[in-house]
Amino acid sequence: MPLQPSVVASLTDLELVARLIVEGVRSGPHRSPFRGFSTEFDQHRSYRPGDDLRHLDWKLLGKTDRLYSRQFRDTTNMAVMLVVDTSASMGFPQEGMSKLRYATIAAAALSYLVVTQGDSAGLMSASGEQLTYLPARGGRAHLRRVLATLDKLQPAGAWRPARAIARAADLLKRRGLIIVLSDFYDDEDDTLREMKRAGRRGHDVAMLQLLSPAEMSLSYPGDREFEDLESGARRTISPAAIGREYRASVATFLEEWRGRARQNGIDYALVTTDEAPERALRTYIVKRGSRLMPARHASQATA
Amino acid sequence: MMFSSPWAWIGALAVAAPIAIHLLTRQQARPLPFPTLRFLKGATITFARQRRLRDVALLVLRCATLLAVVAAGAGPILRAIHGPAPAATVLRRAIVIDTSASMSRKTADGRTAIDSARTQAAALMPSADQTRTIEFDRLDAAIATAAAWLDHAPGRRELVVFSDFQRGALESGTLAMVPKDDGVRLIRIDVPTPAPASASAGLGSRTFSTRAIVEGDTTRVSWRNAFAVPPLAVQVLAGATPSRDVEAAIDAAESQGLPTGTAAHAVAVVSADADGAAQLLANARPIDRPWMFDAVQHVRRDETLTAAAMRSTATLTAPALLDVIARDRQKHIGVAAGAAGAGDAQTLQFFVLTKEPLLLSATIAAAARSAVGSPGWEESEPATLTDAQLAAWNRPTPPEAPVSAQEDGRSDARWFWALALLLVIVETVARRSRPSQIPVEAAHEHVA
Repeated sequence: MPLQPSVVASLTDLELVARLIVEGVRSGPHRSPFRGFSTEFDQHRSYRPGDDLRHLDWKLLGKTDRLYSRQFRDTTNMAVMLVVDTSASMGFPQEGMSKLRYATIAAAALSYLVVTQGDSAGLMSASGEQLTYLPARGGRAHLRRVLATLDKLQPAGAWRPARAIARAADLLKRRGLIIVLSDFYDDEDDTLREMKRAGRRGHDVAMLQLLSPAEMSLSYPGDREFEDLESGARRTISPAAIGREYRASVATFLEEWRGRARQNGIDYALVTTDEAPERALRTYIVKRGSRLMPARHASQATA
Repeated sequence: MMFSSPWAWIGALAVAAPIAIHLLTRQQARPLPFPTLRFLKGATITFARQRRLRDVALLVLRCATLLAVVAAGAGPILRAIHGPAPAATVLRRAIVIDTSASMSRKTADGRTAIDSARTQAAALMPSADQTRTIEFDRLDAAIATAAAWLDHAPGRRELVVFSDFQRGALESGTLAMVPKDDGVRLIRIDVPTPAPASASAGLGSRTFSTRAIVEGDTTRVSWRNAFAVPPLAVQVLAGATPSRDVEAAIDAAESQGLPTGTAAHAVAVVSADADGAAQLLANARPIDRPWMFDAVQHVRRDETLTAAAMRSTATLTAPALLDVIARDRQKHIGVAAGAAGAGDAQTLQFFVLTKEPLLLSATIAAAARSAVGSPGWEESEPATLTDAQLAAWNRPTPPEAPVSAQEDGRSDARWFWALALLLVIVETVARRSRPSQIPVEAAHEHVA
């Protein structure tokens, strides 16, 4: 049974949370799309003069009296860079599970999953002008550093997602997977541009758009004065009067991002903070499982 | 309800303060932090522009508390609890109406002066807590009666006299009977100048007619006499064969010069020697007509009759119901008055209960004078007391003493303080039980 957000929120040990979530993901009925570090047989093809005879499938020759060469998939170590939005808007709601906390847990679980599979995980977060960066590496020690850094993230100020994504793409030494965890309220055009650029550079880009149910429904009683967490601007409105219009606007906003992602080959998942992190990650991973493998452009070890 | 310090009610203006506060202060709800305002479109409500009363129930409680405190400070006195008002605020008024002959003259509005006085007296009654009206033709006697009544009454006292105030009708000595702390108001009723007075009297076989005309300080008197035996104005019941003492008494009475004229009512003098005197005495009943009372009062004042009664000894006993006119030397009733007959044929009977001819003579003379009535020479006086003299005799009525709650010890402020305390408690409970300003997030829709 997946851990509910309330339970997850009560757990302070991020490594424990990540482990529980990953174990839940792995224990699911779905076949894990993750593959470990190995050279794997890929397919047979007809022997061509010049192929490496070491890859000649002698057994198949004995059976079929035909010459076939084995092709191998050279799976290199996958590097995953987690880009976490730590702007002030991610601090909503201020009671219960905030979006940043959810992003932190999701990033921790993804880091745990990736590293324990022998891949590399890194972290990039930006808050204002400050960038927090951990390179993509493997190993338990590095995983703990990543988790510790994630645990210390606090929402503050505004962020420039384009800059964070661009830096993440630059710092990934080799082609990898960039997963952006944000509400994507800021600099939409610049953000899309950098994600597309990262994709052109060979990286896989995925976006987990995080929202809370409260900001999606605007179900507040009476007249309220709302204050923007990042700009400090205030506005007094009647939620009941504009609720329908508000929800339509939010739905349009989300659909626009979904469309942009689809058009540009970017993995997209909408995650709400009332959803069990394990279920959300499993849905994302299983559904997009094949995309978690890095550009399988690697060396074609063929004869 | 009374207030010992009504000026304290000016504090009620402070009620404007909570009203202004409720209007002017904004509902200081904490702003709700929100990730982005980009989707919050539509009409923006500005609290600063909305001046409406918030929390009307709390406002009413606060205003009521303030008013209760102000009322307590005003020193309320609940009469229902304490009973009648203190004596210092009660006004007792004695009203004297002059019913002398001059007041029978008609005033300019066509009513007699007496009726005009009675109308004005009735208008004064609502302004006093207790009123007693005394009507008499002699101001000195009426004022003495009024002063005696006022003297035994606590609180504020006032004497009001309605009269034409003929010169001589009222003297300063009469007003000296009124306690100096009592107020005195002398209200003049204007009456026209009296007609010349005339009278006739019989003396022996002659009848003398006199006419007096009063002009300012001058009195002109003219008289004439005629040979005529004047009839007695009263009937003397002395038996079929009057004794020599009775005849002598009648002659003695006539020799005094009794007024002639027709008696308005039947008056009889019953001698103790009269046949059936005892029976008449037993059958007599108490007088019950105003003219009888007037005649009895007139006869009772006859000094000659009083002196003659003091020298006599009653031989008959009058029933207790009859009016006493005079007493003998042993304080027994010497002359009594009773009524006989019925309807318009009633007779006023004066019973002489002694065989003393002197007393019989005096009673006949007094009864005759009362039956015909005096010409009222004094009522012919046209001059009246000046306004300056009346003003000098007027005295202000003592003002109503302010009720001091502390001195009186009857302030009910404690009830209003208790009410204010109760209202404060209710306001506190109501204020704390208001719903929290922090919104409770309801079930949210999940945007697909």
